[in-house]
Amino acid sequence: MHAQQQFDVIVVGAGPAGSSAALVLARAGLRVALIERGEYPGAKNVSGAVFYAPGLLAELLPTFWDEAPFERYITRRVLTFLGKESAFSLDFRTRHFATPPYNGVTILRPKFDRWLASKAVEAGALLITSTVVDDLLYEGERVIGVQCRRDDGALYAPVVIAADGANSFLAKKAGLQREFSAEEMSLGVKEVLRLGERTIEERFNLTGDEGMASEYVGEATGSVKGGAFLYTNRDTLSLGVIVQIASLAQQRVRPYELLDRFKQHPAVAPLVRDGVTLEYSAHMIPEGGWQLIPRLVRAGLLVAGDAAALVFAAGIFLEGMNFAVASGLAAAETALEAHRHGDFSTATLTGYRKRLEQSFVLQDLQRFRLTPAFVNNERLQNLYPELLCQAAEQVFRSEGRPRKKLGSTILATLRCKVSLWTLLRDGWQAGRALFF
Amino acid sequence: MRIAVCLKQAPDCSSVYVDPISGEVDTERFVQTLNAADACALEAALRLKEQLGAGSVFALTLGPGESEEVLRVALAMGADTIERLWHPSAADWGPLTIAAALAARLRADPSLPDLIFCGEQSSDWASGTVGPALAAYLGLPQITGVIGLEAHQDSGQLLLRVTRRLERGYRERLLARPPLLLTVHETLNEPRYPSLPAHLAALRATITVRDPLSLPQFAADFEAEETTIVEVRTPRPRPHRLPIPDSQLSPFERIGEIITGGTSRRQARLVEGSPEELAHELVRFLKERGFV
Repeated sequence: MHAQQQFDVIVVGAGPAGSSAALVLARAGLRVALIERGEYPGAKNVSGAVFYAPGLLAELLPTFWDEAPFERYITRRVLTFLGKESAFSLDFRTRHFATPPYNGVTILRPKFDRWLASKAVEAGALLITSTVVDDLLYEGERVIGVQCRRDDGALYAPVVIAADGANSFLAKKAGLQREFSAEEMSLGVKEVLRLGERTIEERFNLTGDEGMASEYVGEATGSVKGGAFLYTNRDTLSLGVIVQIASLAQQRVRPYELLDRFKQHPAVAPLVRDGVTLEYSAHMIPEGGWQLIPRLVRAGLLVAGDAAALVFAAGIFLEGMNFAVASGLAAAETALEAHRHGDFSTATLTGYRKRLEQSFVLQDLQRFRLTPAFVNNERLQNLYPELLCQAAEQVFRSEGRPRKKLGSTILATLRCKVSLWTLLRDGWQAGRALFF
Repeated sequence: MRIAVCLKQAPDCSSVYVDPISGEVDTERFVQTLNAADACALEAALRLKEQLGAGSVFALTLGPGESEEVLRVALAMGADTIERLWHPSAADWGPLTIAAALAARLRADPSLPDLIFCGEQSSDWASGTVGPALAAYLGLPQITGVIGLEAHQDSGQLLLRVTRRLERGYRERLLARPPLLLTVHETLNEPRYPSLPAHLAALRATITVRDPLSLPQFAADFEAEETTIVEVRTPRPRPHRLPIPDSQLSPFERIGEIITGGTSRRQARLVEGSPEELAHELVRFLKERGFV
C-alpha cells in the first residue's frame, strides 16, 4: 500500500453533506480525501434549490454571509392549489426572515457546492474530482477503504463517510440500505430560466436581495402524484416538478411534459413569460421519509445526506440540504471521536445515530413520519385543490342573484365530489400528519 | 527524444452560454478545463514517448494560478516535467506575445526540444495562431491540423507520417523528421484517464512558476504587433448570388437551375512553374475573376 493512498477519513461525494464533513475533519488536522465523480463539485448535483437554515454553515464559516454565493434570501413563502383554470394561494411574507441568519436562501448548486468544497480544500482536505467510487474495501466485517474507478484505484482509511447522494450505491453495497420501491422515490425535473434582475423583482414583488419560494399542488402535475416549485434567484428562476416515480410509470407520462404543462398553466405562464432556458436537469429524490432511512452505521462506515434518505419532504416543508449539512457535521464529529479513541467499531460509530437523534434531523423526520403517505393521498393530490378553487369561485362569484351564506356555498361545492365522511377522515389524517 | 507540449486552460464549450442578443458570454457559468485539442497534443506526445521507449515530455502553460489545473492533468497523464509561466500583465497578451513568451522559455534550455506539440486551436478564441507563431519564433518547420500521426524508425532516425486536415474535407499526407512543431486537431486521439496514484501524486505536486519577463530572450520579441479585434459577432450564412435562369429555357429546366443554384462543378487547374511564374499566374487569375 502506498502511503499516499492512506487517509484518516475518506468522504465520498462533494455535496453539502460531504463537503461540510470534510471541512470539519480537515480543520481538526486529519488527512481527508474528498472524492467527487463530477468534473468539479456541484457539476452533477441538483436541488430546487432553497437552502434552509443556512446558519448551520455560517456557524462554521465566519465569512459565510460575505462570501457564500447565495442568490436571494427568502422572505416570501407561497403555497398554491392549482385547479384547471384557477389557483388558490396562501401567501406569507415577513421582514423577520430578512436579516442574517436568514431562514432560507436560494442557491445555484454548481456555484454553491463548488464554493463549499473549496472551503474544505482550504482547510486541508484533498479534493479528488472526476473519480467514481465503485465499491467499498473490507477487512473482515470492517470497511477499510474504497475502490475508485481508475487504475490502481484503492484508497484506504479507517472511516469512510458515504455522502454519495440519492441512489447511494455504497449504502446498498454495505448492506445498510434495502432496494427502493417506486413509491418512495420521486423524480425532480428542473429548469433555470433567465428573466433579468429587474423583471424578477417587479414580477414577484421583491426588493433588493429578497426572494420568494413558491410551491404548487394539484393541477401542476396533472393526475400524477407530486408537486411543483418556483424559486427566485438573482436574475433567474428555478422551477420544476417533483413527481412520484410509481405514479409517473403508472400514468405513462414523460416528466418534461409535466414541466411544460406546469409552465403553461394560466397561473404560472405569466410568471415565466419571456424566460430563456439556461439549464435543464433532473434528479432522483428519496422522499420516503422515516421508513426509507437506512441503518446509518457499520464498522468503518457512516452514511450521510441524501444517501441516508435524510430528506424532509413533508407537505409544506421541502428541505434537504440543511439535513445533509447537519448529518455531514454529525458524521464528522463521530469520525473525530473515533480517531481520538482509535476505535472504529460499530459501537463507537453508533454515536452518529445518537447525534442525529438529538438534533432536528431525526426528530423532524420521526415526528412527521406520517406526512409522506398523507401527501400522496389521491384526493389531496388531484381532488381537493380543484374543489378548493371551485369553492373560492362560488364564494367570489357575483351574478346579481341573492347569495347564500359562505358555509353552505362551500359545503355544496365539496359535497358534489366527496362525502362528508371522507372529508372528515382526510381532515383527521391531515391533522395527524401535520398538526398534532 | 525531448518533447515539449504547450497547454492552455480554456472554457469547456458545453458550459458556455452566449446571450443571443447582446452576444455576451456569461462568465459565471464557465467551467475551465484543459483545452480539448491540447489534451490530444499531450496524449500524442506521451504515446510517441512510450513507442520510442525513451525520452521526456515537458508540459508548459502560460496562465494564472487556476490554470495549474491543466498541468496537474498533464502530470497525472504522464508528463515528466511541468512549468507555468505567468506575469500579471500577461492577462492582456495576444497570441503573438504569448507565442514569443513560450519561445523564450523553450530557448532558455541548453537546446530546443526535438518535437513540440500544440493544440490546433483553443475553444475560446480559436485563432489557431500560437502554434504557428511559436514555430516561426523558433525557426522550426511546422505541420498544422494533424489528424493522423505514425512514427517509424528509418535507418536509426525518427520518421513521422502525418495526416493533415485541410478545408472542405481534403487531407494531406506528409513525411517529416524532427525538429518540428505539430499542431494537433482534437480528433487525433482519445486522451487517457490517469490512474488513481498518478492522479493523487499530481494533485500534491508543487509547480514551478516562472516570470516570462525575466527570460532574456523575451524582451526582443515582447513588442509583437498584435492583431486588433474590431468586432465579435455570431456568424451568419453568406448569401449566395444566383444567376437569373435563361428565359429561353423550359420552366422545368429553369426551376432545376434555381434549385442547383445554376452552379457548375468546382473546377481545379494545376499550374506548374517557378515561384515567380506561379505568383504572376495567381495575380492574373485573381484579376480575371475581379478579386483584385
